[in-house]
Amino acid sequence: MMIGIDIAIGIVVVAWLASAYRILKGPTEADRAIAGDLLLFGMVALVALFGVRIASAATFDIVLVAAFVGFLGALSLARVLMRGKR
Amino acid sequence: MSWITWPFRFIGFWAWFALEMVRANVTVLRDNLTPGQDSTPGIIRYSTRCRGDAELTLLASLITLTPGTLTLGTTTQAPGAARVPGGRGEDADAGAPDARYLFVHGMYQADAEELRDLVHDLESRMLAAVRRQGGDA
Amino acid sequence: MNALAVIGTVLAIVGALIFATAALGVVRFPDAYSRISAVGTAGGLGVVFVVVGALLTQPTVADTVKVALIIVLQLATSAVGSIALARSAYLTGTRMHEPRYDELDAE
Repeated sequence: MMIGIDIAIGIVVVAWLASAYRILKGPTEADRAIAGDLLLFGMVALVALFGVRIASAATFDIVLVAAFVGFLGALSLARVLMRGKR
Repeated sequence: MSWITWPFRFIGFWAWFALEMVRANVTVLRDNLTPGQDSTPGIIRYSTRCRGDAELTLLASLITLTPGTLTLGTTTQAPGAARVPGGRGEDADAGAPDARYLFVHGMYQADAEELRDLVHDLESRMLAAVRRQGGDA
Repeated sequence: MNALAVIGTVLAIVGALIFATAALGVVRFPDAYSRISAVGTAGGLGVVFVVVGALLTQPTVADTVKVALIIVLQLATSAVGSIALARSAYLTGTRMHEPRYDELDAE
């Protein structure tokens, strides 16, 4: 049954590589910022899936903290795009 | 419309929204998996009927969650206040004094009116679902 | 192997597929706004599906409470982050790819 979780991990890793490609390539800064956002969400999903895989008790605590502070990353990237202006 | 029907309206709205998500996802996927691009992007200024920040935030979040549409921002400035003469949209929104506007980016609507109808439909259903006494109250 | 674990695995794969859709959008869409739109969907729904799927494979009461909190927080904050990015992208003058209409122009 873990094979299903393994498939999901594989798909998310491919999505991760795709957003890494966009960060390296991305013509504008906004493209890089949004790819970085997707990179964070992919990391959260990978933590949840690996947590199931190794039957860790701390999985959902880590994901909870990520859900709490994750949007700060997007907000700071937005501020960086604006060079500190509002 | 009353307190009694509210839970059913609320659940019914989310069921409708889930179906709408699937439909929008299929549109985006079909464009992405076939060669070439057939998106027709554009931005509209949408005059909302939301009262208060909570309803406005919910509407903006729902628009962003739907694949293919995106909220760009909000303003209370009336259209035409800083508009060049001959620009679009001077006829569309009369604008109440305390009206709020959303800027919505859409990808798969042929023109501004189609996107406006889509957001209007979503807003009507959302307001009918979240307000205890119904959408037109 | 019980039915809940099967449902959980299916949900995790659906969430991963939502991520794949967003990644495809990030690679293939022509401009920044359509890419932000794709990520806005994946950030909210993809994470929620994956986390609920992960919970259903090994459900406990404490984890259920945490997952309920995660769903509310994730849906509320990911959309706000995407909107903030889209706003600053527009204000810094990122161009749309072949726009058909733009009512925010000249404001």
